Amino acid sequence: MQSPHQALQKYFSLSEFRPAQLEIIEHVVAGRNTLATLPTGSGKSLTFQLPSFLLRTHGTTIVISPLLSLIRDQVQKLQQQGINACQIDSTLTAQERQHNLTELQAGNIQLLYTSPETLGNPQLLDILKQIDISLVAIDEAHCYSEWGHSFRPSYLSLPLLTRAIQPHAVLALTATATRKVASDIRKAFRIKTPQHISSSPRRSNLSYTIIPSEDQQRPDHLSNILAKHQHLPAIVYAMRQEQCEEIAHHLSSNGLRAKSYHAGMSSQSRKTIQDDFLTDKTQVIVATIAFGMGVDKSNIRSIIHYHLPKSPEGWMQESGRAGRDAHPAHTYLLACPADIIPLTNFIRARELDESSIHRLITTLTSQGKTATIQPYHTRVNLGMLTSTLDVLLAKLELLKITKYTHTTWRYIKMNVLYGRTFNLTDYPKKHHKALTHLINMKGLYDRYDLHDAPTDFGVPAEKLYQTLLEIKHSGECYMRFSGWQKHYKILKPLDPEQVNALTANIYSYHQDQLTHDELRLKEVQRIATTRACIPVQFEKWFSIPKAQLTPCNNCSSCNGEKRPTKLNKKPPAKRSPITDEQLATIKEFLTKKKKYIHTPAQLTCVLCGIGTPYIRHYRLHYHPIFSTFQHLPYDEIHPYSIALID
Amino acid sequence: MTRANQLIAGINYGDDLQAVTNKLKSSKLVTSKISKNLLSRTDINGSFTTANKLAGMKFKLFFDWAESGNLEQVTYRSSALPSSDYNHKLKSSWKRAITVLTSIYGKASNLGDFPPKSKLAPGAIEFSHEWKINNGYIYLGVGQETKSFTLNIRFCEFSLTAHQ
Repeated sequence: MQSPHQALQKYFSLSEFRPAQLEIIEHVVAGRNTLATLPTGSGKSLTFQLPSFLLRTHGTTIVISPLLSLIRDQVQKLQQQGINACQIDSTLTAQERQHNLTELQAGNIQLLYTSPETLGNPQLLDILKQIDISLVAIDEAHCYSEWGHSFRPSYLSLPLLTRAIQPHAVLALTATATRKVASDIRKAFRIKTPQHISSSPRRSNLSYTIIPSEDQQRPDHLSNILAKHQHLPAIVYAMRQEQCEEIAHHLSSNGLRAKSYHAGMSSQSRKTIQDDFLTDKTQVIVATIAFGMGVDKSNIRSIIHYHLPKSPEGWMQESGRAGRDAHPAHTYLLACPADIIPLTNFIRARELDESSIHRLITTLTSQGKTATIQPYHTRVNLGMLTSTLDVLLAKLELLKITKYTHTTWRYIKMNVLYGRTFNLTDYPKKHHKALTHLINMKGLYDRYDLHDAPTDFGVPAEKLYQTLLEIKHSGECYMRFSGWQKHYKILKPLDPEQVNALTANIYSYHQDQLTHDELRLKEVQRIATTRACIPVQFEKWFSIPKAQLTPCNNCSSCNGEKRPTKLNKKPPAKRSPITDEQLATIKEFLTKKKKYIHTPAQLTCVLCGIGTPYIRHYRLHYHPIFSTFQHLPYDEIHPYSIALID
Repeated sequence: MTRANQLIAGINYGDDLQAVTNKLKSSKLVTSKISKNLLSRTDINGSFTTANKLAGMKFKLFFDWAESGNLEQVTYRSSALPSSDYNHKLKSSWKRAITVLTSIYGKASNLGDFPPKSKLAPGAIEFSHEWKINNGYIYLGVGQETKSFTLNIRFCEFSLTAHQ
């Protein structure tokens, strides 16, 4: 076998490793499971790409990443270098997927990139069990830990899946892991403590500036920062989607090529905006934290947190997207006391009643051997945020109560294109009656509920759905699906006592999560107000040994700049926060909207401007009363809601 | 018309009602007779009209949303014409629209004839043309209101799984 240095020269045309790379590669090549905590831009990809050459005789290297755009980019680059790399994920067509699976089975693939969701696919897993696997590299490994700042339920199944395919070694990679998160990852992937290679998350080319701001000063501060040419290209992080739109509009009016980017946009729109940024057509992206992971742009010169970040991990990871080319780059936080209340309220809004968890478990387990839920309606009916429902569903899978099988749509509207011959005979005979009915539903608002297919036409909804997908791909019809639903197998029927016990267990877990989020937010406030070196405070949060902590001499604290003294500014006490006039308006609102507001929590969320799925579903966030008290803590408004509703 | 990734006035698939309303309110490409202050209280469907004529007609904008409240489809619906104009003025605009759309998006993947009136029913649209573009489809067709007829251009997003 050639040495790592030889391989570095031969395949990457480099003469030296960056810090920690060689140590990681040596562990992996020796077959030792390893956790690598390295800062953004420190060359993590090399730590699995190089071993893929050295371990080629041991089989294929699998790279698991949650970022489909990153997968696409890396695979393209590797293929351009003549390396047998491919991807298997949800972005491929059926033919591409089959081609890649065949190549994989034949042992022709050196590097396979896939997503955590796709790895669990039975067809792929069967092949992976049959072939030799040299290395499984898990990117963004902090997503595994429930105590990480960006926990992804799809990561929970990775330890089991990884063990099932028996690789020569496992390499977990992350840029941000606190002691607790690192411990979770090590336990899950059976990594011994000495095989945890970590280097300080500090990036010497980044400067950290904290600007004390009042809410109304922020647009000017932002314009001043971005007026300097050396601060472009830039990413501005904002708290909410609508704020991204407003800030991007403000910057565009000031002559900057700025675009907003957030999770509410479709994947295609986001891709276009991202591509424009990568090619410098756009100078500034104003985004929620949905933007950035996997964006391979090395010359970003500044990152501005327009609002306070939710956690030190997020703050550092987002800031780390600047200056990946190692040239000087700047990070700014516009620290404003007004942010604390909405951020705290957002955590409070995730609180759940035990009864909601009980209803979710009962809904799933009372349907028999299989169960279907519509995530959107479940979120609306049970008052849960998307992330909360995803975590609870993953928790049920981990406890082996349920097993996710697939997704479908519930409703369909279709029209045959005029001039197109639609041959019923191309499709199964038993579906002809149903298809004829669907084609003849011509009304503007007509849609068919596939749940009615067994009663109306004696055909299973799932089979008819498969035929409809075929028709869609044939391009003969205009089609619109709606009502996204997830299907589960019920692995363990539960009696009422078991449901109660499970509810209590999950409720307690959820409360712990909220407490942890509050702790993280407090740490952000502490770092933003402390007069100690900012990068050192991050390093402390990540448990870097004290002996390694030295001031950066390049942050607001080290430069002795003005700092915010206190961020958790409390409103004047002992005065009712709601005037009699406002109280009358709320009562009027309750009378008009009594069909929609049933609980004090719903009213408090409306008044504090927290757009839960329930509130958005009934469009209550467009009512003028929405967010009237967003400047006040949830706990201060909630007693009024209780009094008004009860 | 607009760049393929934008629908009109900077609107993108996935925008929510507020974003779409704000973009329309500040755009010079559309006009509205409804007061800007009242717009937030009304349904925006049919409230905005293209400022310029396309294929000889002005179009009202209609929006379809995913359950999550994100924009999925935009339909440009022309002013309604009486039955007597169906085979003349409407057909002529239909032909002009094909020319315009073809010049922007290339040859259509479905090229149907002008649908006969008998194919339509109140509330229905018959699409004769389909263009596949990078982020979705564009459909062109004729529609029937109660007794009058319209030209319709619909922009639909490609993805089956967006906005869930």
